[in-house]
Amino acid sequence: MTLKTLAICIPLLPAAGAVLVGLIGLRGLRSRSHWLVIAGVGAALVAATMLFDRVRSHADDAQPTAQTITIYEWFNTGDTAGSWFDVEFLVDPLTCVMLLTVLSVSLLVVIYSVGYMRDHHGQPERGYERFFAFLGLFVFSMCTLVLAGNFLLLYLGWELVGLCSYLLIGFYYDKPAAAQAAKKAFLVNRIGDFGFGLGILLIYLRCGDLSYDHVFSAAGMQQLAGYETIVALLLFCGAVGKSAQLPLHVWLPDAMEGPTPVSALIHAATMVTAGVYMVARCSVIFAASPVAMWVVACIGAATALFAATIAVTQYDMKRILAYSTISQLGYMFLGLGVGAFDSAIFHLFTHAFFKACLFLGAGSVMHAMAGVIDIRRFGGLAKGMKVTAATFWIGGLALAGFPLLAGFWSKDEIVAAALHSQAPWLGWIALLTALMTAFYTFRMIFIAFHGPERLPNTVDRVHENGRWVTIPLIVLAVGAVGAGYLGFPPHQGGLHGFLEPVFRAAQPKLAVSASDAPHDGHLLLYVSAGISILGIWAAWYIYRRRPTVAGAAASGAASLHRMVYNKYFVDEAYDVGIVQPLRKLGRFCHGVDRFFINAILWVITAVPRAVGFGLRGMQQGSMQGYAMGMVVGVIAIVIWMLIRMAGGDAGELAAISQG
Amino acid sequence: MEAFWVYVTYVASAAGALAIYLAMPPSARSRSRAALGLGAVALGAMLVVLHQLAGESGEHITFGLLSFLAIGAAARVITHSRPVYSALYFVMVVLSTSGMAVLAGAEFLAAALVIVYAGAILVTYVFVIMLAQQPGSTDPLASSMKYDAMAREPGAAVLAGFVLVATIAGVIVGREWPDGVASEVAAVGNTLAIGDVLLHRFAVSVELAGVLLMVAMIGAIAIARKRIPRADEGDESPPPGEIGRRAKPF
Amino acid sequence: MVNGAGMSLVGAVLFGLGVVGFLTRRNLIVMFLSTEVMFQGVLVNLIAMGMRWGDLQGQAFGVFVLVIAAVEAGLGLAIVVMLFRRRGTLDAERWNTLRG
Repeated sequence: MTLKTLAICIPLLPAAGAVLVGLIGLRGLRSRSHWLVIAGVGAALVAATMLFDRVRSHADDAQPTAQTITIYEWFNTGDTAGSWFDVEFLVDPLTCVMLLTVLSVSLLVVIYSVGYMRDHHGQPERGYERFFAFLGLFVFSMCTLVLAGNFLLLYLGWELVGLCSYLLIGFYYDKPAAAQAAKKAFLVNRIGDFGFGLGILLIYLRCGDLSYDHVFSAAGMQQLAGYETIVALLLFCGAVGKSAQLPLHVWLPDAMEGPTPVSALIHAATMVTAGVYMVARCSVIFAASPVAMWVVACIGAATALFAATIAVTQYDMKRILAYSTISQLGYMFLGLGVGAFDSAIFHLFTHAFFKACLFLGAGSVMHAMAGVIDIRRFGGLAKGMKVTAATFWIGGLALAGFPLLAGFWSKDEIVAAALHSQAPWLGWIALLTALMTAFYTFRMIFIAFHGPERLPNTVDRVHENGRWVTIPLIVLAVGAVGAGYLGFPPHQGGLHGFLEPVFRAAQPKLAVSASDAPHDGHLLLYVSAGISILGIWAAWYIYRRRPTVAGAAASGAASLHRMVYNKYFVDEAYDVGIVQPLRKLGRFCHGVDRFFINAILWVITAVPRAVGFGLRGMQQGSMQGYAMGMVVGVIAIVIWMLIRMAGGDAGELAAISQG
Repeated sequence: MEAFWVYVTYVASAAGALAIYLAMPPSARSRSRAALGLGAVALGAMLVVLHQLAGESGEHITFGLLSFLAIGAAARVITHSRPVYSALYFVMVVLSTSGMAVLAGAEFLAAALVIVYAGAILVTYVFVIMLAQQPGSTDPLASSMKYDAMAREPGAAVLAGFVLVATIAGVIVGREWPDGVASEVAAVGNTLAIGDVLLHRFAVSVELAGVLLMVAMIGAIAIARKRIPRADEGDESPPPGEIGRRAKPF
Repeated sequence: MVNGAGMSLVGAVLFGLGVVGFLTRRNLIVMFLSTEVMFQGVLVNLIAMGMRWGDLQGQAFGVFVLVIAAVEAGLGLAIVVMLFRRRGTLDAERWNTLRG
């Protein structure tokens, strides 16, 4: 198989599955709908593995590792002959890593959904086939986004995943909260996408082409010279929206209204990392602008800390994980901002596994608790749900950065890079965040899985979910342990070497290159391991040994707790600052429309109405009145013809009458 | 012809129009007498004009008589306040015109007129008039509804009719009429000749006319057979027009 | 009688009388009779024109006019009967539903 065939197969196989399920799912497949999507995603994963193999083997050859494959010519911009936008795929190590991450997590989530999207009697939920069709569509969109070889196709995939996110958050569309959350996600994303679109337009204006090949080349960067900062910041707008960074993070916690597999796949592992991917992909542009790098790092660090504090106070398992996701995405942006592109992608890769594992574990708990997800209402589930508890523990340890697990290696690299950047305090923020991460993760674990068994009223006894659910959990837990070793030893692992050609062009432009940072032995490793263990111990001490401490602390700093618990009132601030003024403006416009525009229309339409009123009297409804009209018409025609006869056409009529 | 006769024609038309106006129901004795006088003047003037038009041909006395009958009867058709009499006067119109057709050498058409009109159509009319009598009235000839006794806007209608007739008649009278062309009728007889024309030149039209007759027959039966609930005068719901009239545009 | 002028004149007068009758009379049956008078005028005119041109087409068209008159009388009277059965009157003024 050629590289081109492989590249085409990867997005199209899931799409084919989705379309088939969409077409015949409701009538023919119903509860067997998942097979087509599993097959499509699985085949795409195989194709992606083969693609990865090709690229890795090329890395040793003399051939370039990045190859642009033109699928077909899309449309002509009309400016000059030959300026076509193509549907083109860029295949390079970054693409391969993203594809493998997306497709492997997707496959596991799709398998998990088979067990999850059923009730306790094993009957599929309403909309079962719709769910799988959307999942397939999402995988197609995400693969398109990742494979895109120019900004236009990237934008297409970007919007497509946004659409899938909207559809899946609003999957339970008859639930008002879900419908609201879907709308919110879509609208907040639009704000970011607006900036993203502007950035792409600016690139087109400067370079005259949107192909990565051209834009990222030396010539392309030459054309962008002077505009790198504005372009990078506009592109980063899109990333802020899609990856739920401050100040556009508000949609992600609400997105948890969607089914849990969706939260795991789209709102934790894959789609929200599109922003990170995009910034990494545009590393050349970002690296050329110190200001943009600085903004990325600051927003990343701020978001990481901000979201972690909120996560400490929440009680909804999925929301804790959502804020944790925002926080971890902040880490990734921090890594990008300090120039450690490969470390950010490494963290993206490991995060996908352990966060998906945690989300699916939360979903397993939710399924067993008949939809209850508030950790105040249940506890001590570890005895009844051994597999879920074990995998949740592993995922939690990885998230907390416990030594030797996946999160430990990747997070540590970002912290190290931040500490060696021009602003070492970013690194301290990262360390503080790491402490809180460990704390809130294990706060959740200790409350939910340990201690005396407490259950919601609706649940009689705890039971483990079926194999459709547990096997993906186990696989993801293995990934949460092992994924980190692809990047071992730190900064020189296999993954870094593999990704190195992608960021080669960006490295010389950085003020402080991450790769030539001095390695201060293993000190940082020990420090972060200690922080992680400290956080876990604190959670154990507060929530297992002295359960009263937490309440006392919350009431001791009541106002602070209330502020954090209410997510710093960001939603309320937006409501007062943006939504209400806009609503008032809308009302004003409505009033203008009603009283001004309608008045104009009324005046205009008054003319025909008045004429009609005047002429109405002519319609007597009497047959003879109409006949009279006819007769008058006939007389008029006769007289007109006679006048013509008397005038110029006399000869003609004379000719007729003479025969 | 000279312009003089055109003016005579105009005057005759005006006199006839006035006569018709006066003769329209409701009729009073004085009005009908005036109408009679004016009508006589108009018809006399017309006969004179006709005499001028006829030139040297010999049959114009018969033709004048027939015209007198036809126009007088037609005037009575439209002015008589009893429908039955109108129908009977219409028989007179048909007979007169068929006489004119004989004079013009159209014997077949003359016969067809008498048979179809006087024999068939008029019978239908009289039959419908009988059918549509007010219940309780025993003598159909005497019955006269109030809407028969009252003409509708006779002034405007007569004026329109006068303008129409005066215009056309003025043209007819004012124009030089060449002698007619002798047709080939005489050689074979009118009926044979017209049959030849109909079945050779207008064969398709004849068939179509047949189809039309049959369609009309079916249609008439379908319309008349339908059982229609007779709406009582009292509790009649207002027709849609009533609602529309009340609607204000502003 | 070799030229059609006189007959043409009579036809015109008959047609005009029919028009006046149709416009003034309120009885539906008499209105139909007036249209028959108009038909007579047209018929006379057709005969006159055929005479004027020495052609039998005028008379042939007269036959068609006869057919149309018969058709019109049949259908029209059927409608009149229906209207009469619905309203119990022959007054044309009662049928003004289209009044604006």
